[in-house]
Amino acid sequence: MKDGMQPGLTRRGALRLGLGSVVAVAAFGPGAHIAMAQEGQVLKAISPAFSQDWSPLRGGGVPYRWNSVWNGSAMYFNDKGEIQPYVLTEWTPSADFTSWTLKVNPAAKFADGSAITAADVKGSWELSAMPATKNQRVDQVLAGVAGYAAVKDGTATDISGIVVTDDATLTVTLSGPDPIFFQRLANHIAPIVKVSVARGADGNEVPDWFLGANGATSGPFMMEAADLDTGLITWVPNPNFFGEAPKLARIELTSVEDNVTATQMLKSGEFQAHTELVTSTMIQDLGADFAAGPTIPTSQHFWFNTTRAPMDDPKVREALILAIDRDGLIKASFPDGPHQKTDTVMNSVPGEEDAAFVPYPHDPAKAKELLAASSYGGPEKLPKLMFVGISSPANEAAAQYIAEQWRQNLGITAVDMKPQQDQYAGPDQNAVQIFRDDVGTRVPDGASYLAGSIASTSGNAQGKMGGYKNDKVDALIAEALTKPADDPARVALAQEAQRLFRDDFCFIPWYKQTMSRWANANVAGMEKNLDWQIVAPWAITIA
Amino acid sequence: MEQPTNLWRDAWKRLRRNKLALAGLAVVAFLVFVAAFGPWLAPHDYLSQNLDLRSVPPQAAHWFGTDDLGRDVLSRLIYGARTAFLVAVAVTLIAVGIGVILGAIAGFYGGTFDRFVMWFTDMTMSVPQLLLVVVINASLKQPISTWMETQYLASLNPIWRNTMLADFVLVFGSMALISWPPYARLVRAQVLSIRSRPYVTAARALGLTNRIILARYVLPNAMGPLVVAVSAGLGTAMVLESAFSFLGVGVTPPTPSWGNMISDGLRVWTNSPHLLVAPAAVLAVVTVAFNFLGDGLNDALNPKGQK
Repeated sequence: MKDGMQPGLTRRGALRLGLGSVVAVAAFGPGAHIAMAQEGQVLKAISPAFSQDWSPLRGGGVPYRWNSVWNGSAMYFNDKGEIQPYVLTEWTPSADFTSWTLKVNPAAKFADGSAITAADVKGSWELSAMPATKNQRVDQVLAGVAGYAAVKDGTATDISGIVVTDDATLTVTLSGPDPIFFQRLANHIAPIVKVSVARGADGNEVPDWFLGANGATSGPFMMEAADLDTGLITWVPNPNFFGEAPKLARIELTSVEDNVTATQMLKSGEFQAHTELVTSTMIQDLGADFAAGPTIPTSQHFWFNTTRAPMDDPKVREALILAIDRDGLIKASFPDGPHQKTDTVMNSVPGEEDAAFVPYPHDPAKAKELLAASSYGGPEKLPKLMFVGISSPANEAAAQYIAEQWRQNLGITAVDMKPQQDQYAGPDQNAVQIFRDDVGTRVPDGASYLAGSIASTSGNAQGKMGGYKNDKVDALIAEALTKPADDPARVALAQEAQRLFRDDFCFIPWYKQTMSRWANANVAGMEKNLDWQIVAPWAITIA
Repeated sequence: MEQPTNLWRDAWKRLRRNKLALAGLAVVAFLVFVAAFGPWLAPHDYLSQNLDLRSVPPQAAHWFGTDDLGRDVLSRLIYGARTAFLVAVAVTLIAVGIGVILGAIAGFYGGTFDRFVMWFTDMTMSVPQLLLVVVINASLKQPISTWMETQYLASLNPIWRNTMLADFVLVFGSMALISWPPYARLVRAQVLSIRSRPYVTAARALGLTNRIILARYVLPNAMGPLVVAVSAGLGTAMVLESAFSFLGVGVTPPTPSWGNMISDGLRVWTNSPHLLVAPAAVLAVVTVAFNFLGDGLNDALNPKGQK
């Protein structure tokens, strides 16, 4: 045996071994590195605001967009609009669709390991309905439930229409038939939380019950810490999550208010995702992957208040619409996407494609004739036109484009724009004729879409369209709502209502919304759904 | 025979020797020319959009490129010069008018009125400028606009439809309201020192009225420092107007203003730097020009103050 050598290992053998090791490390090292990185991956995301209220029960705002990360919901939609079981696994309607029997997932647990019961589901919905909770959208989920109105009004704390049969079953009685009630539950507007922690003896929400690691939430992650002053929220995996185990080790959400700064930080890789980045150059800056996503049943339009001059004259309305090249409108506002031009009110729902629907043409000559034939006789006597809701660069670009089209094609020069939108109560509130706003639904259903946007009972028709009412449109929508979700008549009736609405010339169609990933290309699993939620937060990985 | 001399002729001689001041004067003169003849100088309609030429960098057809709606940046800068110049001149004139009247009377007569004016000046200067302009805009802009619209519908006179008019009235008014105190203080200080000069005493002895003494002997001799302050004030007013438009409380789009152009350019500076650089550079050059001119005038009108 020679000095320094192990028995059976020659110098040449040692060299071969060394060389082999180098080759092996070179070949498999990166893979080993990735495997190690995946185990401890941290998603660093940006919030565009310093949100001070992170209750998962608010149903809106920046925190809402992160709800699926740390809260379970009754059911949810995937990015294709297909309903998926979650805390609830079964939903069975009565024959007349006025009551539903719901079954709780027997494996469902809160982060502290305790089981989620039917009482937690009922309590969570009641808590969301309490007026003090100030949930922005709970009406979309529970408005049809018997007894909901009393809780919403503050005269009761118990929704009488929801009855817990046993730990795993509850029955929901509706105030009228609703064939798609189950779809209304498939969102994170009223997520399932541990009622014994979140709800006080008076039925109201316990202040700040959601901050820190308290085990009262039910999503794949749980909040670790929330430093609201510095704007840093962190989540870690929920060890008792009843679904697929999360792949990320941690999610850190940091507040960066300035979009230009946020863009640079995303570009440099310092952060990998954003809550909702709205810039006109997002795709140029961060690539198409960053903005990619499905179109959702939400669309943006410019609505005419039909009771205010000059919009009270249908010929003026038609002239104003026909004067606009709407291909140019989308090019001016979202030239690279991700949103898409639309001709219709209802989008990204069954029935969106309607061969009988005639889009508004771009016909400046006819527009000019119509304006001349209107009660105003031309542009000179037209009152000043005022837009509101012009609150972002894209809105501003679109409104300026429209104003320029009116100037060139109709000779209209008096156009004013304001950023305010909802509850606009300025001194000139009665002079506003055009509201830029979105309409949409949390369910893939055209009848619901129209019920919330053009039916005379909708807030949109009553407010932004100044009390628009077309009895035929109302009747068609009302009839459509009674049809089962899979009945073709439901779609056909909604389409007919939309065609009639089109002929009333009450809006300038603009775009249907894409729900972007808002994540760099190396982040997988950030796809979102029509509820603005990350569909499968447990599947997020960073390449 | 030697030509008789006076303060202004001497000052002009000294100013001509100051190259930076002359350069400043040239830039200001050019600005005045551009503002006056903007509609004829602009190569394109400042409102006209071309979506096939969005955000293109500087090129032969568009020397300063186009913005995100395909509008010619140079044409908008030229119209922005008009906005800037109109605002600067109008605001400065109003502010100087208020300042000279109050400062001269306060300084010449003294007493209770002087104390009241100085108290009012101090109070006005203590109000945060931006806050005051925001409040004035928020509370008055819409009533004025609505009133103008009513006048238009009653008369169909297009002057009432000029959206720039309401903006300007408010911007002029609110900026002038916060800009006059320095002029009032300056004039008062000048008048205080001049009113006891021998020629003023002589004028009094000749039986001239206070009004004539003030108008004919005191104020003209107080003008030197005021001219300097006005030239600096013009630049300040331009920057102020740009700042207000940048913050969204100035001139309303689509009327171009250098401030709102800078604000728009800031959003896209990484992809279209020309949209930020062009208006910012123009504003910087004009502001520096006014400062050079102001310094030159100061040296020319106050030679003893030179180092």
